Amino acid sequence: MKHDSSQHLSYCSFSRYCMHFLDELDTLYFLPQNGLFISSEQALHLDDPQLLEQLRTHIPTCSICTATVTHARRVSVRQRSLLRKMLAENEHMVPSTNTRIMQAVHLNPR
Amino acid sequence: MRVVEDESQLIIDACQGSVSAFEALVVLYEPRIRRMLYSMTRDVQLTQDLCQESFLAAYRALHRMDGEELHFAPWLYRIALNQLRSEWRRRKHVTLVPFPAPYGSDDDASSEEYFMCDSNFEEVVSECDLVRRVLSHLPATSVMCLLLDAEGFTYKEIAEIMHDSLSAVRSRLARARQSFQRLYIRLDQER
Repeated sequence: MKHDSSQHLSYCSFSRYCMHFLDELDTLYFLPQNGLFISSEQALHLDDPQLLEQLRTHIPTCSICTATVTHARRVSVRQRSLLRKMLAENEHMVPSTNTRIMQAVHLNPR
Repeated sequence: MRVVEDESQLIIDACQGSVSAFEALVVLYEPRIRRMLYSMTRDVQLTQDLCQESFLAAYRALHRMDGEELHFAPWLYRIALNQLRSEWRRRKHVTLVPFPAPYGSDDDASSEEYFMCDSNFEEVVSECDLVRRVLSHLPATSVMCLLLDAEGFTYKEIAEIMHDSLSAVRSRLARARQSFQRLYIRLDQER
C-alpha cells in the first residue's frame, strides 16, 4: 500500500464526511454496480440522508473531495483485500471444529 | 451479507429443531467463525473452544428464535464475539499477539497444501504477517469492525453484531481505516 500524495491536498470541510459516507455514496450514487456493502434497505435507515444528498452534489464539483474519495476508495478496497487474505490464511491455521461441535450438540440436547 | 434460499430454509428448519439443518449451518459457518475468532485471539486452542461454545450457545437458543425473521449470520457472529468478550473478561490477559505462531502442525496436511499451492507463498505470508502486526496495534473493537466489513457485512449488520449505532460503526470504521493505513505504511517501512 503506497503512500498517496492526495493526503496532502488542501482542506475542504466536507472531506471528513466524504470518507465517513464513502460506502453509502458509492453504493447509492457513484458505483451502484459494486453494491456489496450496503443494501437499498439499509439506505432507508441512513441517519443523515440530507448530508448524503449534499455530498452527492458537492463531490463532483470539488477537486479536494474528489481526490479524497478516490484515495479513500482505493485504501478501503486494498485493506479489504489484505484482510480477506489474512482471514483465509487464518482459516487454515486452526483445525476444523465441526466434529467437536456436533458431538457437543448430541451430548447436550435442547 | 447475502443469504441463499437454501440457507433460509435451513435456518427455519434448525429453529424448528432439525439437527441435520443445524449441522448444515455448522458446515457453512464454522470456517468463517473460526477464522474471525483466530484473527482476534491468535490462539488455536482458545479459538477451537470459543468456536464450539458459540455454536452450542446458538443451538441452545435457536428454538426460541423465529426462523423467518432471524438474521442468522449477524446473530451467530454476535454470539461468537460475546463469547470472546466474556473470555477476555475472564482471562484479562488475552491479547492480540503481533507475531504469528508456526503455520499449522506437522500433521496438518490441509495447511501445508494451502501454502504449497500458492505461487506467491512468501509474499502472501509476509503480507499477512504485516496485517496481523497492524491489527495488533489497533483497539479490539476497531479490529472487529474491519474484519466484519471485510467479511461482507453491511454497516447495519455490523452495528447489530457490535450492539452499536450505525453512525458509531461508520465513524469507527473510518477511523480504523485511517489508523490501519498509517500503521501499515510505518510497519512496512520498518521491515
